[in-house]
Amino acid sequence: MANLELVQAQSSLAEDLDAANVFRFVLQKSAAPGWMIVKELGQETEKTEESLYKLRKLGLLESDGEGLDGFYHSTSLGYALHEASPRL
Amino acid sequence: MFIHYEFLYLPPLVLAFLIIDLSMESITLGALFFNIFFWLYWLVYSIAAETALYFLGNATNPTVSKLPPPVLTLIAIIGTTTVLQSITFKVGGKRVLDLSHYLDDYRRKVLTSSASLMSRAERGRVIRQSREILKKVDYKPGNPASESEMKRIYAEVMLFGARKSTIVQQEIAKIEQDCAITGASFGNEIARRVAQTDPQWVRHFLPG
Repeated sequence: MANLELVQAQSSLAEDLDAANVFRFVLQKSAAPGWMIVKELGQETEKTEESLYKLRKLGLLESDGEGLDGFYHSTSLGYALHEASPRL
Repeated sequence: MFIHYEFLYLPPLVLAFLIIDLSMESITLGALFFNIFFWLYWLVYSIAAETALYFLGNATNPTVSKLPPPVLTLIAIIGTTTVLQSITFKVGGKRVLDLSHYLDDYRRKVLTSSASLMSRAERGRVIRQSREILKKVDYKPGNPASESEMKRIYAEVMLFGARKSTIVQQEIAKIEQDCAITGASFGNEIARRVAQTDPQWVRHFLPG
């Protein structure tokens, strides 16, 4: 099951560079507020919100709040993906 | 006869090794030290390394048992790590025991719970910095001068990249609208957003 989720996440991020950038940024910081991601990556707010929603749906990120007001960190699956694809 | 004090300095060495390993994933020392899962991880590693050291020290092969104690300790740590990370026992092509899988899962659990602690610490930083921003601007709710100063701060922090001032004005209007509905403090909401967005700017803005 976890392997299937990993493959799904991997292929999904390969097609979405914005989401991949957001995921990489959160991994680098270990924990980051949504608004910090917007400024650091210089993305549009809507785009970052979409990426964060997608990453949460894929099970790669976890947060204690909704949208850009939440604080995000990687899940176990996120770290597994990072081990499987170090470039991410 | 094997010298016993090697057993005492092995756990701190294992601790140093694990800290280096996990710090490479951007986990801070504080997050590790307040994480119970990390200490359990260290305990398991230390017991395994102590066992390896005991067998190395009592090895019947004199070339092994007569190695200098620091070398034996180093071999114990490296040996433990490589053995724990690769133990897989297969019968009939099926994995009966896959210790490396459990160990990887547990390492990820340590990373996730540490990142969660860092996330909570980050929220704490935002609350602390928000209070300090309000204190520095001497914010008074409802005071037009205070409100316009908070709007100026917001615009200074939130105008970056290709963002236009109209978008920033819309965001300020949205915050004002939300505050009017919920009764939350406008100044506090602006300060919180600013602290969330740019901690470096806040550090520069605040004295000391």
